[in-house]
Amino acid sequence: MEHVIDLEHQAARIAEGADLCVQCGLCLSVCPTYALTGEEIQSPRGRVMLYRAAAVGELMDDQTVLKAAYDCLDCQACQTICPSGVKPGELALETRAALQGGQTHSPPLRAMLEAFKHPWAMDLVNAALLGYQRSGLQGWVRGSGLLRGLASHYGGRWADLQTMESLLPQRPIAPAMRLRRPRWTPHRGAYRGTVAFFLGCVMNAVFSEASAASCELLARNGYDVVLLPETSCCGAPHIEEGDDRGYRQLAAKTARLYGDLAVDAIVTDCAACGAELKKLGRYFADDPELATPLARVSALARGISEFLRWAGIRETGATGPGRPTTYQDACHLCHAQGICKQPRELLQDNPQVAYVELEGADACCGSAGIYNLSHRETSQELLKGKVERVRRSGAEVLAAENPGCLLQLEAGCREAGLAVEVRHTSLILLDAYLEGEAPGGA
Amino acid sequence: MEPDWEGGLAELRAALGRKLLERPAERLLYRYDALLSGPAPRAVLQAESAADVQVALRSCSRHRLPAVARGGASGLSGGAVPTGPALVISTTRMTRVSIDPAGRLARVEPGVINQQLQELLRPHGLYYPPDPQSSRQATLGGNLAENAGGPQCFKKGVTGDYLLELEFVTADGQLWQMDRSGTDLPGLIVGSEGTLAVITGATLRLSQLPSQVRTARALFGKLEEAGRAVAEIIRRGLLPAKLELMDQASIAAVEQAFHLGLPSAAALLLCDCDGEDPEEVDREIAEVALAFRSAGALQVDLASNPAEAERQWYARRSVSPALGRIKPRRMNEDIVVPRSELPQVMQEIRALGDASGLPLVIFGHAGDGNLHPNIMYDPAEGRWAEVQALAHAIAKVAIAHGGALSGEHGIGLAKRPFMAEAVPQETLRAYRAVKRALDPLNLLNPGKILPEERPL
Ligand SMILES: Cc1cc2nc3c(=O)[nH]c(=O)nc-3n(C[C@H](O)[C@H](O)[C@H](O)COP(=O)(O)OP(=O)(O)OC[C@H]3O[C@@H](n4cnc5c(N)ncnc54)[C@H](O)[C@@H]3O)c2cc1C
Ligand code: SF4
Ligand code: SF4
Repeated sequence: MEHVIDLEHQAARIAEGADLCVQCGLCLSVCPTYALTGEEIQSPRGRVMLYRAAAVGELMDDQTVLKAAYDCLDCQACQTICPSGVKPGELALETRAALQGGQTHSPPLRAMLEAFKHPWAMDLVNAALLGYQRSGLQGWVRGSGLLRGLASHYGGRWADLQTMESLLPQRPIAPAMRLRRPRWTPHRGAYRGTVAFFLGCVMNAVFSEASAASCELLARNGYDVVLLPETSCCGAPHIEEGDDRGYRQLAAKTARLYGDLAVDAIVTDCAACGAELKKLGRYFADDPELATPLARVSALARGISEFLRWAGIRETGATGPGRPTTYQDACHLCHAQGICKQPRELLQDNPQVAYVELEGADACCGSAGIYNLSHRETSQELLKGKVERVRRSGAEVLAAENPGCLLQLEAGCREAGLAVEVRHTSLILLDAYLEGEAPGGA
Repeated sequence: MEPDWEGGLAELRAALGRKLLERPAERLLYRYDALLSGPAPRAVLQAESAADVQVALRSCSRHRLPAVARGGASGLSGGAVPTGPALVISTTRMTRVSIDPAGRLARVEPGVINQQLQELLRPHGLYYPPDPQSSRQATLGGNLAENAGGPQCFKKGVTGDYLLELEFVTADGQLWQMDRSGTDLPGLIVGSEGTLAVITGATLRLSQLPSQVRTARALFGKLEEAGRAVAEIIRRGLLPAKLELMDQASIAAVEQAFHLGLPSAAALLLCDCDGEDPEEVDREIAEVALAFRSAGALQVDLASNPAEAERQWYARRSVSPALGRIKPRRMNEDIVVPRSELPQVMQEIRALGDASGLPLVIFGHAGDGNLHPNIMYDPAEGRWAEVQALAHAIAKVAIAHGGALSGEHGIGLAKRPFMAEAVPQETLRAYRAVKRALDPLNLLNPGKILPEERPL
């Protein structure tokens, strides 16, 4: 087989990253794919050793190495636990890029990544979804079981389509907010600062009511909120698929829009965007053009819970009783950014919440970008375990702060017939303010 | 007779199908443990049952193929690392467990992870005392094969003390199931590092979680005073649940990496006493504190609540993770010495470390006389010969004081060169006789433990 690592500097970077590993095996204890298979090649340690062997030319089987890199969820649980600072998740992405010459070879993926570069494409997706729901088509498809029948009979593409369809929320999707929301939302109460809200692609297409809530929360906490409608994707889908070039294009746009914006923070309510924004500075540290503006972007980037907790959230005025609520860590929040305490503390302090902890909350739900489509079976198995633990928690509400997780968890609960409301933390927090403000409220 | 790989692999393939991994990319990942790396094996069996192991070993015997058992590959002596062309038998898919809470027994397959067993036991108010620091990644099969120990082992004993019955397959493919009455053959397999048999199951004895635990921490101005404190505790007939040592370098490493606010001292001892009767446990920890003081402790702190105790233990658990930040690699020694010799041994090892100029960190299960002097190094610095010389000198100190080379990590590949010095010739002859009786073709984990024998 031909050996195609052609990005020389990347091979060196991979080998260097892998050399930190002392093979202690601690990471095996948290890796979801290893738990399912017991195979070294499905473990962080095994993957790292494999990437290394490929990078130094010890192994000439790029296809197997690439498959191993794609079997990784990039959940980064291994990065949290590794005592030696190895980053098996990030190395998977570097390997994907290196072995594909910086661009995925799959035509549908290329098309998808292209679409993510244009903000209006996400508005179109939103319009299509609205049409699908409002025309009654979704109701008919789900009611008739037609797609489910085709999927179980023919499998393959039909099964992919069925998985994709099942991931769409049942609740009515709100219209995209990108062009509808003002560029500037004024603060309420005493002024505390000015922040930019970085609107995520999928948040805009499927969860714009949650992002609207995030902006409202910031305003109610004394912040002027700037929303730039020309914002593009953060680049997460691109780097996940090894599309180094697309990633750079988008990073350049982010640098241009946010690099010298006069704000105190760049806040996002999408875990993946937050992780990416924080990584850009490091990733492009050697880039003569992008290093400076992106270092600033990374320094200012904050997750919504992280920011609100840091700022100190204002009294909501709501009263109990609290509903039993639990929280699922998004991997790109807790493992990639180390944000675990803040969302929990915000929920625990909320009078409308009776917080219960979810067993194994920081283990991946199997959504992982488009892993739930590319690795349907593994993803479903992880999801099944997750939903079972949600059931055992006794919660009525399940909070999360990432669109992929929200979609995946909602689908999982629906499929399992579990009546749990899956909601972005921002919606839960805003509800408390709304109740507090309501006539007759406390 | 030479190994017949072609015929042997064809037979294995036919019998085991997809459980046999042969692609280079897969084989490559079964050549290392947490210390060393060797040649990639010829094939890997992902065993799912004792029957798989039997089938494999029968073929290995017929075709003279060496076989190496492998669990979590967290070993620190190269035990699971092949020394030449071999079949690796991986147990990570043999993970069935059944628990008998009333009988306080667990029946386990070898691939069950130590920590997973502990988690299954907790709801029953039970636990399995052998607690290696690698409990999250090491298998129970690997624990048995290394006779692993941990902090709890001071009071409660090591892995072998909790084994009631062992199921294993010998090199000829024969399956055995034995308890420990009569001639204790399972006792022989425990700690044999995969050189006598492949363990396929075990029945383990469990303990009740103690309801009372008290924690004390002592700081010392001199390393050997900590050694004297341990000897004093033994002399007074006290039996703490755990008694752990950190020297100045380990305290500094943890402090630098995690900023826990540890005081600086030449040595620190951390002690737990446990039991059911609160007054008795209070009395015992108070006596430990007295022993600490009489050995010259600068300061003794009794944890006033579980959170404080947890903070103190967190520092000890952070030693291994913190060391990774000093230098990328470490040579982890694992000596055991009589506890009365601890003060002298500690002093001599510290002096060797200071003279060598290599960063040397000492910590360990002081209560058992089990020390882990760790030599930190960076492969890029090319000081490997010095590292080995220091390791050798430390081993000699242990032997000179009537100690042994391996408290819990095994001899494996790493310490094999020292065996000829550490063990009398007659004992080595006896080891060889046992090996020949159980594995006459020398197929199970060849090249481990026993030094090379000149062919007759
Ligand atoms: C960070 C760290 C901390 C550690 N702390 C401790 C500690 O506190 N105490 C301690 O005792 N050890 C410790 N160790 C060493 C190691 O974890 C133990 O030796 C453990 O028992 C090895 O288990 P494993 O499943 O990883 O075995 P492996 O490394 O896979 O194998 C170890 C040996 O056992 C043999 N073996 C494995 N499975 C079987 C089987 N089913 N049948 C027959 N032979 C078999 C192998 O051939 C090999 O010789 C530590 C290691 C690390 C990396
Ligand atoms: S990646 Fe980290 S945790 Fe995993 S084996 Fe390597 S050093 Fe250990
Ligand atoms: S990122 Fe997740 S799936 Fe990938 S190796 Fe690490 S723990 Fe395993």
